[in-house]
Amino acid sequence: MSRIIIPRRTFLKGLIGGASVTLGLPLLESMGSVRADPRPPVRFGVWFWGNGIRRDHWIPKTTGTDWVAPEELVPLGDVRRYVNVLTGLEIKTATHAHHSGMTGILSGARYQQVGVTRDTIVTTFAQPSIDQVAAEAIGKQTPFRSLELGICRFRGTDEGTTFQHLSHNGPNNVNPSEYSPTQLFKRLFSALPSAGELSARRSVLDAVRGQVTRLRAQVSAHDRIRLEQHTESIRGLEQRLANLSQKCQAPNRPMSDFPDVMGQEQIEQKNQIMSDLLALALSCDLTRVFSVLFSPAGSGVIVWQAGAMNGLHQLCHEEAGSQPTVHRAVVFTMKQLAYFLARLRDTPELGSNLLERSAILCTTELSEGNMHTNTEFPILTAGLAGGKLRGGLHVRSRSSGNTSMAPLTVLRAAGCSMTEFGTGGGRVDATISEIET
Amino acid sequence: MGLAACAPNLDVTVGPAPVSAAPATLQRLTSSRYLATVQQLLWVDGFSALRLPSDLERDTLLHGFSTVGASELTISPRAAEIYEEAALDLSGQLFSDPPRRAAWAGCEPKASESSDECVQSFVERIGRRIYRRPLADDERADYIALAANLGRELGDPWQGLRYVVAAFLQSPHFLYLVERGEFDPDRPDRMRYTGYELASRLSYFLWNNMPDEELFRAADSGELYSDEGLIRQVRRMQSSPLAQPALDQFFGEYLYLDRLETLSKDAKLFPEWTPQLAASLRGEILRLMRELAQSPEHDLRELFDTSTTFVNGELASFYGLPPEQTPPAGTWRKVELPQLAMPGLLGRAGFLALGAHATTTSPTLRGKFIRQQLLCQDIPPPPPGVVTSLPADEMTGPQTMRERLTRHRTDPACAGCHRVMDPIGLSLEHFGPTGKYRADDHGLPIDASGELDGESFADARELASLLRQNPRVGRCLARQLYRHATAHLELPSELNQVILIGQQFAQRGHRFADLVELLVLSEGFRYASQPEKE
Repeated sequence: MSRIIIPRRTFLKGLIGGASVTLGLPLLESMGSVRADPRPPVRFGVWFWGNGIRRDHWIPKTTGTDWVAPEELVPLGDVRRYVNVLTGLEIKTATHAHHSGMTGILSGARYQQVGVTRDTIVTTFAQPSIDQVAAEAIGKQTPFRSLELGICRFRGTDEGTTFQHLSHNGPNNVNPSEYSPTQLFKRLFSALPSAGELSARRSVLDAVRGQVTRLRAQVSAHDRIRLEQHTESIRGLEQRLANLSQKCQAPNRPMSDFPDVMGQEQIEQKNQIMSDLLALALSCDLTRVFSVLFSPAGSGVIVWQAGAMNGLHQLCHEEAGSQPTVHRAVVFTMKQLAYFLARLRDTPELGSNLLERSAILCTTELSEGNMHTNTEFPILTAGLAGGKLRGGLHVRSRSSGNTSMAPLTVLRAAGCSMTEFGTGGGRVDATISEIET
Repeated sequence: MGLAACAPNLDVTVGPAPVSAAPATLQRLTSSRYLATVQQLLWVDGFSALRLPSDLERDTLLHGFSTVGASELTISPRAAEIYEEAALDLSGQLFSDPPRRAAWAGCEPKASESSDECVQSFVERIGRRIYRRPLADDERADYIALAANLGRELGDPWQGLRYVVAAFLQSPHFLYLVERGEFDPDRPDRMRYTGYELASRLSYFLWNNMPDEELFRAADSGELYSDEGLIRQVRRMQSSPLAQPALDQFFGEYLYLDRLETLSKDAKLFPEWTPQLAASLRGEILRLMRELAQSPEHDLRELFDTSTTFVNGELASFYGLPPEQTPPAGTWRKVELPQLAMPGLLGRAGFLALGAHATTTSPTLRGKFIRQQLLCQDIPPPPPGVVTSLPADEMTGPQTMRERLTRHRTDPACAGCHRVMDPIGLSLEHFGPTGKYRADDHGLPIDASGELDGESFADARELASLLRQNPRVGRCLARQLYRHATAHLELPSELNQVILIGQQFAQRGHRFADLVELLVLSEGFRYASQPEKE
């Protein structure tokens, strides 16, 4: 068994919950597995926000590296050399903007309708979301196959899992996002179980898995599929127990979950602490795959920081003229993304940094909310994927290219070996070569 | 998009088509059912309640109901992790307290051998409550072996039992309502749910919790196969105080009341809107629905015109009631308020606030709710590519909401659907975004008149009275309750049955207790279709 030689005294200085902390960083030290390649792994991520952008303030006028940032991209200036702006692409499976866009960009496929009424449609993902595609390829060696975080709270609409969740293993099989900083902390940094407890838990899971398998033979075809997925889930849990290790020292426990103040959601504070915890989890190699559901498709989040008095989805529907409040909400959202990306950039890793070693797709479910369109789809990539991606580029498709090229490019950069991605109209076998090295 | 796309679709006439029940489905315990069940299972008299898990997966509502979601969603890796953590935490709390575990187990496990009588009786007794049916021999043997092995391995027979409980709480037979049905001797072309399956169906439908000993007894005796046996249990259960969580669960989802929790209003315009007020307004409507549903003298359609409501201290001041009508802090009081500007559900601030944005009312949302939830008329979403912005205020000066929404009713791209929603919602314009009465809209007079499917009304009270007389209301409630109770969107083959239940509910005077009985006695509640052949 070879061990990776890393500097013994690597420290991460950072802010967790507003308090300055110094963390020991025994990076990859206890990985245990045989790795000939001493370079740290590339991480894959998705960062998603709901309700799109305003085109006039999003699309740079020129392509290449010298573009002038439109207002909604200005907040990313500080991390610009890690970010590519992809414009002119469109969802080829569009029928209902929010649902088609969400499933199109994140799974390369049309949504699957759940029960047919003529009402507002209820859908789920027909195919796994790309974070789970990545987890299957690069997520199996870490304690967490993937991590799912949510920032702005879900405000109950009833249109199926497509509107409530990001991470899908398949139809109606979701990995719900964690919205609570204190729960996330507990999950990431709990003390390791004793050997006896671990062994007992394995025996219990083994027994449960046996029950699920036996039950599978006695149910309908619909439920057989569900129970197969349940079996997979238990296998995943067993795998997790096998990978448990104390890889880094816990930071200070977050002081609170940032409840609303005077009815106003503390979005910046929540985004900061969740970003901090996620950066730490990545740097400790607790996971290599993540998704951040900043706000869900069609989100009703009230971005009071942008002067919004009403929910964003409603503003997109109703705000007059060029929708200045929606625009300010997009700027605010990009500031939150910039915070997260800067956090990764400022986390050093063996002479490099986390952002350099990440491949992140940043996107939303439609172009402009008031038009409900899936053309001119807003997509950013962030991170240099350990050298596989370039950065700082604006690449524009002149032929309304298929959006699925973007996830394929990012997945490949993160080390997934597939050569094609998507199904039906969403299927592609080409990447966006301009951003590849 | 023309009117046709928005036409009502519950006007199917009852034809001779044979009713065919839906296939049996595994339904996950919803989060509220999970919590109620573990609390009941692990409760020990004389001890404090256990700390319940706070991080359960939030339910996904499909077609309005968490039960429907629970029949579709699978147990994902994350969900399995959450269930494991909860099982370890709960069993850990229970077994780390020696007097508590001794009281709960009822005996002292001794040797770590499969022959220990305490372990055997424990597994049998607890297993029946957790599986909601007696364990099969091989199931019992597996748990006993697990207890013995782990007891030996960990050097403590109590720890063996602790992990058996952790296993029970992760078992698919606990996490799902496992309903497979059995051969029906009367009708070989269908399956009937077993006595124990029916006991759980009744119990979670009517109590939102696991069956009690009386239901287990009835299941075991075969009484639940007969109409009389079912009716006896339904009546007993409906009149029990345990029925309240189930009513709250249904009406909370059906009337969108659970959304009040995350409903925000502009704090500058409406400083009175607080999470506490939102919770009180939810409590008001839930209590009103309990009253209408549980007291046998009520016609459920009184929800359109009753001047009865329920207040706590906060709502008493919200309604401006005198001190003698204000209940003591922390309690609720039933009050008659003939002075209400608008009686019934449509005048309750919780309902009105849900049909409004943070700064403005939304006649569209209010109208949509009435169409969709109360009349079961589906409204499709705006078509793609349509610009949905409304004209800017600054272009026109002050406008009433009716004027602002003119485009909804005149632009052909919008009018098809909005003509069905907005005129109903506009009748409630006397109630602002938090549900408070207002005499005018931006200083301009409010025109509350409108039209419901060809019948005109002068104001919201007249609209409510039209709704009360509308035969769709009863049928629609029947359909919604059917979806909730059977945890699926009704199949085309079940639609006639659902309509029949609604008609009989109406004929018997729209009493909620009758609706529940009709539903429980229906084919869809008691029978399943034959599983498809391989």
